[in-house]
Amino acid sequence: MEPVAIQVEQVSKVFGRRKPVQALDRVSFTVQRGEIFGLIGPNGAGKTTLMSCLLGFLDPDSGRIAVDGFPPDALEVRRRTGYLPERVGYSPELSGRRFLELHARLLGLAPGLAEERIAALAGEFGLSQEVLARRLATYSRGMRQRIGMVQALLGEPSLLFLDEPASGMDPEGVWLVRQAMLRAKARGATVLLNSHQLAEIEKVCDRVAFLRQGKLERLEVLRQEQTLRLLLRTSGEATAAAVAALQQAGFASNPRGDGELLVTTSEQRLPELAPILVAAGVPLLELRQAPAELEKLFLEDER
Amino acid sequence: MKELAFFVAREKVRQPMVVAIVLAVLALAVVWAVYVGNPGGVLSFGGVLLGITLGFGLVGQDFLHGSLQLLLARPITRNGYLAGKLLGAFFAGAGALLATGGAVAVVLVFKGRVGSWETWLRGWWPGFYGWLGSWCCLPQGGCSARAIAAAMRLFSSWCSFCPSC
Repeated sequence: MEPVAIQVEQVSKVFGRRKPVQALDRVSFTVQRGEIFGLIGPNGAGKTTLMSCLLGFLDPDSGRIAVDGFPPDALEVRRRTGYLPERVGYSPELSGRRFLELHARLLGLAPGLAEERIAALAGEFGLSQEVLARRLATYSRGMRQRIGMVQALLGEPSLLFLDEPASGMDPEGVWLVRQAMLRAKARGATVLLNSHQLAEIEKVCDRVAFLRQGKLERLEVLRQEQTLRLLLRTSGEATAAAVAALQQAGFASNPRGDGELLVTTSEQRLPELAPILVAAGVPLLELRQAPAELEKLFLEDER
Repeated sequence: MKELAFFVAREKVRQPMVVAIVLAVLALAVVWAVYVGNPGGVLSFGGVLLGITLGFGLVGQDFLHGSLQLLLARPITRNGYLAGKLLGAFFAGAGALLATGGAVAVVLVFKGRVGSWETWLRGWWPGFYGWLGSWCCLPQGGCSARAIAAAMRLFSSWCSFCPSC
């Protein structure tokens, strides 16, 4: 199996003819198999348009998209895709159970297997049998999101597209969505997450793409196998000595002011770090894993 | 596509409005057959009414509720989705109308007004006005209610030939 799950090459999309709006402007990136990839950007940045193109709902005006090597609207791709839209809307007359049965049927699941999966996933997302028997019109927004997650995961998809999955959910629901994403990743699924909840993105995503005015502004690596980003704090006067000691020992460091240093290293070399600083006479006040600080990056991009 | 058609048909025949129309048409057709004469017109009218009810918002409601994208993200083509929806609604209506016609036929049998098998079978051929009505409806409409209503009119037109009346 190819390591690349999603390939986006120079994709552009324009809406309208009289007053054309450039929704996507030569966007290119790849998403690796088994990766949780985040899409962030201000409103109107083109995230939902991009997701619609990746799902084959919209055809790009130019450029190429390949999902598992197929065009995005290929039935092969849809068999292995789970999708949760931003605004989850369902036929209000349907009961929760019938809604899930419809999706299981469309996925071609055998009735027994469908029943088993519905029971297991509904249980995971805290949807009781009584709740499933109720009409969808009576569901709260959070419950709709939960049942939306259940339908997205019904076919055990290897590609999961989630558009604001935790919106309207209580903290337990947010945690359940996060766990579902991490479980999907653990079984090798690729997750594409579009969200404004930067804290959630920081917690689960391996990489994020910043979109603004239809353009891909930057790609940020938040988590990389065997690579650690550490935040080291020393006294302000000792910063220069710390940088010099780390540089001599072959560590990459980046001073951030107020005695803070951002250090990138591997798990293997982590035990060497503190002794080097102590040997150089640098007071080590704090050493912890550095947060990605997406909010800061986001606002920097905005400015 | 057939999964969607089956699901739509099953959901449609459970709708209270559809059940109410079927019961009303059945009652009117029986009264008509017993006291007036040929109930074919009642059944045809009932078929069109059912068609409109079943076809109304068949695709539009999915779009409105935002469930269209969710369905199209499944392994089904756009044409397959459309065909599944239309066929499901049509089969629900046809089934309901057949059941209604069957019930009327039972009443007529009890009244001793039964034609030969040959004329019953011939009665299935759609009448001229049925064809005309259907083909006039289709190009104007384009929406699901008209399409289903036209199909139901076509299907129910055999009633006007019912030999037992």
